[in-house]
Amino acid sequence: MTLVPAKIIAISDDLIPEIDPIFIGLKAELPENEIVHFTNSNEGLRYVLDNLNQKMVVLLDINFSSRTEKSGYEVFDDIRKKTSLVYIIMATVRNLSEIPLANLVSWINNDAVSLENTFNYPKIISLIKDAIHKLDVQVDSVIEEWIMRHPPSKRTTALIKTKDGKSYSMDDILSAIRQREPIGLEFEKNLLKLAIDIFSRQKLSTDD
Amino acid sequence: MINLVIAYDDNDSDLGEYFEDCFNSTRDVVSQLNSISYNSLRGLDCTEQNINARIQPLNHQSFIFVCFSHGDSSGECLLTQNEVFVSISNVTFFCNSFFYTTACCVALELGSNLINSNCFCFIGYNDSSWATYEDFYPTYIACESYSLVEFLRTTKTIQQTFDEMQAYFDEQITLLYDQNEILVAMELERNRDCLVLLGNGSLTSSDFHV
Repeated sequence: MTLVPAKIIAISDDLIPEIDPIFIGLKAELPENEIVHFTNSNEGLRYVLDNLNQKMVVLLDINFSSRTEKSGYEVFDDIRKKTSLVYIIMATVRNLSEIPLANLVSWINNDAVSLENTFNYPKIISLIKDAIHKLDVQVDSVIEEWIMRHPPSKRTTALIKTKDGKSYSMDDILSAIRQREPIGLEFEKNLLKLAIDIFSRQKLSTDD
Repeated sequence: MINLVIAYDDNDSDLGEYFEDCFNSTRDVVSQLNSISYNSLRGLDCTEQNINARIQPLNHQSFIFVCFSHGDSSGECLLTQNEVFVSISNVTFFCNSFFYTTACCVALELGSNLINSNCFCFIGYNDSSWATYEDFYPTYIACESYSLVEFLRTTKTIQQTFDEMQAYFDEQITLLYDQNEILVAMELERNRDCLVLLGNGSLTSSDFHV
């Protein structure tokens, strides 16, 4: 079973050109059509927020030379306001001591973030591969894998109803989980409970 | 003879059909049991006044009240889209009853209010429960009604039938899982975990013969 690939979103200052070894290396080692590069942080942020229903790893530069663009700190915060399921790798050549303490605290307290302060291409590729693995084993990825086994017509058919009249299809459920909506968190918790319940009952019956 | 009253909101725009199927399923069982005298109220008749009028002649002796309708999210009442028909204001009418409902949340407040008002026993949900789509109505109804049906058909205690209901949910969840109906199994499991029994679970159907 092939997992749905994660998109790699590179948001870096246009001082780092697309021919930078990092991007050449990324395209050599990962599917090229899954890599999207933005040199404008505002556009990169918009793309991420418009595609929260996808698995994404964001390679995010901290500094942007244009004053009209959001800094990497702001892009990070804006993404985290919407979701914790996008994996963010903060990349900078700055010394760690130059990064404001409040930002470091924010990164540490918000899940799924790595910090690479060299822009070293093999290290960053390794971080991205690790991030993809982490995304692949998250609940939403496992659910996505299961959902994608169904034909599109089944995926869009309402199959869960709340007693107050709301309906959800498989695609709705996946989107709600990805976007950390309350109902998505509820689905996630219930699916985990079901998995543990089924697993433990099957184990008990095997033991019998 | 056991007196049984069933209220069901067939008039609800979202789940009227489901509530009616719940009623029909229970009625089919009850109609085969000679020892039960039942009467029912449809959605448009589910008003506090009608409910009180139907219950009052029965509640000097033990009886069973069943309701398939919505509950409000605070758990304080049973209601239709038009009005509340069971709440703190008429909770005392249900003294001497076994109160069985599949409405959302009502174990949170209404359940304990009923028990404090001398209702013998209550079974219901302590959170929002899920419905499903039409293909799985029979499975849901069989699960949600299991304890009631077993209680009426056998000499088991309410607690025994409640425990067996949990096991029946488990069986159905496993079957759904085996059929790759993961999401339906998930919501059914959530419903199982939200069902609670309050009050005296040691009663049997013979305690309700009048």
